[in-house]
Amino acid sequence: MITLHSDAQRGRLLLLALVLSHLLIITRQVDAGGGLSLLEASVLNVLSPLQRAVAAIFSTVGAVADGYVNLRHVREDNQRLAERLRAVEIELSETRQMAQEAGRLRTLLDLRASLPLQTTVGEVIATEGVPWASMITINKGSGQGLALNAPVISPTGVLGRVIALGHSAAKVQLIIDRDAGVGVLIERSRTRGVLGGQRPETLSAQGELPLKYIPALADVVVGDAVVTSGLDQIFPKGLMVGHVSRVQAGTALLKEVWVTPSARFDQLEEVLVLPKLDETPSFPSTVQ
Amino acid sequence: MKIAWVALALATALLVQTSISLLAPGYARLVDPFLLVLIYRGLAYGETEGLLAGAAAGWVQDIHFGGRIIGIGGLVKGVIGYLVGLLGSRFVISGIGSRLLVLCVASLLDVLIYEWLTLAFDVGAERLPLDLTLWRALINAALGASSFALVERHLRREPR
Repeated sequence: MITLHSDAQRGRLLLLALVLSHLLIITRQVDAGGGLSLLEASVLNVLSPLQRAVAAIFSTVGAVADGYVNLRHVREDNQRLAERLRAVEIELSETRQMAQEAGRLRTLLDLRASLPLQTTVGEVIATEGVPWASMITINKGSGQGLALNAPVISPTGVLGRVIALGHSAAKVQLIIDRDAGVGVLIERSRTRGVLGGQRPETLSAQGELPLKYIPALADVVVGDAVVTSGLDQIFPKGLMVGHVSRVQAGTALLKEVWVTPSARFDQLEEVLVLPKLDETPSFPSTVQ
Repeated sequence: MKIAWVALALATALLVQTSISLLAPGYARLVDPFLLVLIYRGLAYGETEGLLAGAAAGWVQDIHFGGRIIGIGGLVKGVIGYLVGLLGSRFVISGIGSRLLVLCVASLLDVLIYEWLTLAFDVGAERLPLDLTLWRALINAALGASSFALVERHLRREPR
């Protein structure tokens, strides 16, 4: 048995113990072959599966989070592109409309230039809201020189006449209105008649109008051009109205003749208003 | 009671070292309050007290400020505590000059033994340049001598 005789002896033993224990502790921490001390390697081996599991969980959660973030970005991109596509479609539609409007106006200007009288271009600002609308409102009125019963035409044919007049707007009765009537003649045979309107419910899909008072012996065939006769004191003579689309026997004295107007009443946007007839000369030939 | 005083001194050293590390990181290595604790302990109470205080101080320092190898600081400071305690028990080291000398030598030994051990164990710790080692010894000596005087004034106890 070791007996400690003094503090000095005890101190030396303590020093020895301290040095040895520390050397042992340090040695166990210093690299042992694989770059890790035995203590660290043991701790690592025990804890690494847990660390791997935690890492796998974080990796999975991270991947899901990344996927969600990416999905959100894709969705945002999709929404943005869809909005852009809608905007481009609207721009394209507007461009097309402008091109169509330019084409119509060019046609209208050509017609206007071909007419030997002062005309007024009007824009349709209101209709009755149905395809067979028989009344339209234009943005020109007495302030722009329009008069009651002034003829209204389009590049494709006669449209109607002004029946109500405001300072800057006018109401136009179309020739398809059941109360309308236009003095016309068959251009080829010079047979006169009256083109009447139709009730909306009886208007056919082709928009045929009855040509009244055509004698049974008159020379009328399908396809004949029908122009204004000027006898109604409203429309100047020689304006294009339409073509004969149907000819039937009718009564003993009269034929049943149907005319398809050349004007497109369902696509009206711009019109030409002519001066009132007493100010208008007759046309030497048909204006088409 | 002795242990409580040692624990309080080490806690104070830890606080001082942490404060220096935060406030002036560049100068943290020039001051070693743990070294001052073990030197005072060794001078005042002999080699056993110096040894134990040094080991404790070294471990606290290793754990809080050391590298990946724990224990080198404990070993170094334990040995220094023992040596200082041995000196304190053999000689009268109460004058300012002798204390400054002991503090300087202990501080130099602290660095030298530490670096020798890190080389021996191939730990690869950052080495302190010679000029900084000398500055460290002087600063620790000045701080130690003044702090020992303050402590003794309060405790009214002279080291042996």
